[in-house]
Amino acid sequence: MQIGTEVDTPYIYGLGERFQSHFRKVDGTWTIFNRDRGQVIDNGQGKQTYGYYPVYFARERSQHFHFNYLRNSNAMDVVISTENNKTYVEYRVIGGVFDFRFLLSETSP
Amino acid sequence: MEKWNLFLGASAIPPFWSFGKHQCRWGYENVSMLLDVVKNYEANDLPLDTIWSDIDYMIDYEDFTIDESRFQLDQMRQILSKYKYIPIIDAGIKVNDGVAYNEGRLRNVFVKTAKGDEYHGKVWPGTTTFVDFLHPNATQYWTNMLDILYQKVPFSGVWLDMNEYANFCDGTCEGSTPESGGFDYSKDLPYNPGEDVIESHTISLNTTHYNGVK
Repeated sequence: MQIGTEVDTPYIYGLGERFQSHFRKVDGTWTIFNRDRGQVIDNGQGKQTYGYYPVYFARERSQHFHFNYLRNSNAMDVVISTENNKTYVEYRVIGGVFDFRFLLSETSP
Repeated sequence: MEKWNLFLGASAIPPFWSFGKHQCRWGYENVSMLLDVVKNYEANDLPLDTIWSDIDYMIDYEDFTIDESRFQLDQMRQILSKYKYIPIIDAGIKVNDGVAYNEGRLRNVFVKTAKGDEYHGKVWPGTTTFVDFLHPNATQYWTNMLDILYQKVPFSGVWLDMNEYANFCDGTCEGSTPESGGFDYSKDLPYNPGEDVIESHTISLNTTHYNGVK
């Protein structure tokens, strides 16, 4: 199953426990499915995770933060892309249902 | 962050000693090597709170066993009287006539193949099966088995390893084909998340968990 949207900000963090060069999730494929292996740097090349956390938090242009949590334990790709200065997030999940929780927060996370 | 924490529930508070100094490596093959390590810490006036054991302490890498010919219990207790101790436990249960396997069969807690047979993979001890984390008997199984080991060596914590589930075979050891009970990628998985085959280094996606969960 597949669902996607434009988000108000490119400042997206989270999406699984993995080794990466920066905390921010840049354009790329962020795979969430656990695998036992040593340190592999993943900057959105679709490597598997060490810990399964299907949640991101984002700092919006208004400086407010929000959380987006997908309650689902299946393997998934979260694809982040930029087009005409707009950021898009797309979920590609191989099972279960889309059970999203959004937590809206203040300007301090 | 506060809302997220309220939503998830607060995490367990780690014990104070777990923030202290730890020593751990693979290759401490017997209790005198462990004793050497802690004595060297003492001789050099270095702080140490906890000493760990990798899979070396087991009999043929079988969970919940301790090889008492190499790890004599009286000497282990010498260490445990002064330091915290953390032994490793792997998620894969060795398929043999041992207590861990027999107890798991009795409680019916192992992961099943699509056909309903017990699923087998391969980890350090060779052929292994895996406890179904969704099975209601699983918690009691882990508790009982840890208690058996605890009666011999009263450890302070457990290094739970290979619990992704890690498997030396990709999917099934017989080659992941529909004929061998594996996954039919062309039919059953129209999309493969990530750059690698999704079954890499883990159990088959075709296995069945408690209540028919795939």
